[in-house]
Amino acid sequence: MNFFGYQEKARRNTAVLVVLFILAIALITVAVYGAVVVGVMVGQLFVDQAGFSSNQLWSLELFLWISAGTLLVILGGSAYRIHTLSQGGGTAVAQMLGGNRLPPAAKGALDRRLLNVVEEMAIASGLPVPPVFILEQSGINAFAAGFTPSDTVIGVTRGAVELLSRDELQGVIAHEFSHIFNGDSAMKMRMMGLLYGITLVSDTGIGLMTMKRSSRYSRDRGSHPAIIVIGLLLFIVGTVGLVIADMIKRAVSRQREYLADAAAVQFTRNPEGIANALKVIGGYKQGSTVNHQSAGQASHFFFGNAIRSWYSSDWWATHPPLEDRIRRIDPRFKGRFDKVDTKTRSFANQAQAAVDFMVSSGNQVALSQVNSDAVMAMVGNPGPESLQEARMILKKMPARVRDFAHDPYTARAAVYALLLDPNAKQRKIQLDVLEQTADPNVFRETLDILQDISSLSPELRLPLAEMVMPALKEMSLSQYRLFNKSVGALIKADHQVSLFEFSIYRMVIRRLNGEFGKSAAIEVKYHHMTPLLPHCLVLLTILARTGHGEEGEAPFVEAMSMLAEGEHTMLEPSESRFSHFDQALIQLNMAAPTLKEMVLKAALHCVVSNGVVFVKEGELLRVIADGLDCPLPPLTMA
Amino acid sequence: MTALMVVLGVIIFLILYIVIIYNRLVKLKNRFKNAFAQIDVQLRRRYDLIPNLVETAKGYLKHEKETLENVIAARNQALSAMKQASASPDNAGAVKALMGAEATLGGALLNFNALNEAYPELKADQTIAQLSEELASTENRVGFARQAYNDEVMVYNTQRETFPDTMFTGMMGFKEAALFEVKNPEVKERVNVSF
Repeated sequence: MNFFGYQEKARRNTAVLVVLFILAIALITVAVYGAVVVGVMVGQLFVDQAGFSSNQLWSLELFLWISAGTLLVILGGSAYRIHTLSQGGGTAVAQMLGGNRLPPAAKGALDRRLLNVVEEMAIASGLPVPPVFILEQSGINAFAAGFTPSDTVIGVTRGAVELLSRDELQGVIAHEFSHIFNGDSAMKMRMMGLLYGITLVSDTGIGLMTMKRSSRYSRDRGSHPAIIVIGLLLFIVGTVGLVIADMIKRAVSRQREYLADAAAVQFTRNPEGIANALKVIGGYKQGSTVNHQSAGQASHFFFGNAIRSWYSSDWWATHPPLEDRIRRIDPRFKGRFDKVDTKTRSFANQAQAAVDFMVSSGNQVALSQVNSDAVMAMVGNPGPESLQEARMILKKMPARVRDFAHDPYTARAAVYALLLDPNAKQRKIQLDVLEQTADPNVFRETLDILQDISSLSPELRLPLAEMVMPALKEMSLSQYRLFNKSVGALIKADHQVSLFEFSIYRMVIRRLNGEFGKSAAIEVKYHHMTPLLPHCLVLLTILARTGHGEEGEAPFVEAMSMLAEGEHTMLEPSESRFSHFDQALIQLNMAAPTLKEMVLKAALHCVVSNGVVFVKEGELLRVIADGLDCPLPPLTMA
Repeated sequence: MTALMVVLGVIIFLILYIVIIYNRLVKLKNRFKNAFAQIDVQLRRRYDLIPNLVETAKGYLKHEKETLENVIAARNQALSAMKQASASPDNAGAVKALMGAEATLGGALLNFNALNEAYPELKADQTIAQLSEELASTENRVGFARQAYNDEVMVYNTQRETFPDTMFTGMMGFKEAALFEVKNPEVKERVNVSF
């Protein structure tokens, strides 16, 4: 199964989840009813002048009341939670768990190492570099959360940063990235939203119980026992809800972990990395525990078991047992964990991280020799070659540019500089506009970095646009608005939107929407190709014209024939402007994963048909893949 | 029976409502705390540059020991204030202390810069010029990070004072956060020594 297959499956799993959820609500409602009836009967034993005098086992009126109340709490809670999650994206989850954003310009050796590992992994797979959060926990754990690639964040505990070696850390990060590729992160976000309503019942129950206890001292004669009964009832029901919620989580979560482990091995082609990371967790006293009140709610996001509970048998765990996971990667594993010497390990890692990581000369995949099937297989499945390639890209990036990209202050200048036209006359117009719209200090920084960025070799330009993402997300809302305005003005300045300008604008602004706007998951609207054909026409026309000029007719027709039968002719330039292109990508992103696969395949075919990939085509292909939320690894371009 | 249900409904509604208020404030608090981490990075960068600058300048400024010592002392004080503030950015006192230390440091640096005019050979030194340039750029970055922080603090403080949140903020322990403002440091009158 490939990337698109997993995406499709994740969608179906979400449907299963919804059915389970409805089932759970039904069960809980019945449980609430039962508890109320029993509670009322018990209450009557103590109070004879009770305000309630029901001793029937079944009363429709009572049942309706209780159903309405329970549904209100659960559905209201879920709706509220999904709403807040879609506002905050992965960041909301990270902050809920007490995570602190690691500044992209952080200088500490271990912090830097972590940021480098994440950056490599992101560039290798063609995802925007996600912001990294640190959880101040001594246990070894990590998570990825978010609805779409642009609002996804990676969280890592302090214990993992200090105790894992670079290879082990890379294994863990690769595992988390595979959750993003497989659509697990988005599914887990929805799962958390849905389950919140259920856990809310238990939270309310516990809240009522503790409230009763704390007010015991102030009350003089004893309040109506009904309050006590209600507290008790809600507690019982809450516990039932909790158990059911755990069952649902367990049902969905465990298999995904094996899958992500296997994928991590595939990405890094280094089974030792992730296997050793798991062994370290096994031999470490704190294991992968996360001590935080919200850890239970988010337990299914984590790399390892985050919660230790009284029912700690495998049956209830959100994750498969460590021994099983290790044995699937390393069949020779005997099931014995060596005790982890934390001091030595953390010291060795400090020392190792201080030494700059070595890069061997990469064996690059020349796209001209690769057929489109091989490239398709790389989507959401970056091999070690891509990782090597990403390291080469990061190594080739001048240190000054890298520094600029990592600082929220100068990252904007880097984007402005990327958007400046190579043509001196156009550039002059753009600079004049920028001087008027942008912050004067940032304008100076732009002039400062201009030389370095315009002399950047072309294949580094899109990776640079990916690298600036975490830094740009550090802006405040008002700073972002100014930035957005300046970028818009810069592009329109010369009254001519170039393809590259448009690509950068689309990638950067679209991804920042996750941070500064709403970031809800994309709904699948299209299940058939027919309504999408006009958009495909636009896409392939622009692609063919960019890569082959006037000879684009043949590759265009071939590519179109992969999508639909019949005669297709290229659109006129007036019908294939960037506004059409933008619209086409927005619509195509709402297609079912299998349709996206066909579109991307056709686009790829159009590009490689003459055996050479020009930088312009390659960049456009990346923008298309990005617009469809399909992570396409960097390609070697002619 | 109905009365009981109504009471129950009201209680649940209230709890839900308070949960919403609480979560919203926590989210905003986290936002400004994260924004503070940015200031932290930039200030650290700045504090790292200053000793280099002073060390290089020492060779030229044998007779201006006091000014140099003032810069270093102010820098050390600011560094320790920053460590305290970054440990708990929601503690308005710590942030205000950092603001004070920063103002002192700004003043000391201004005095130091004034020396540039008095010692042309100092101005001509390549390393000094480069370090000063870098310091100025860092200053801008600090300003940018501070702006982001202040934006987030403002949103938090506004939400905190909005009804009905304001009824619960005291109970839940959401204290007012301090804006990070810099007052223009006053240049201390240079004492003219006359013999």
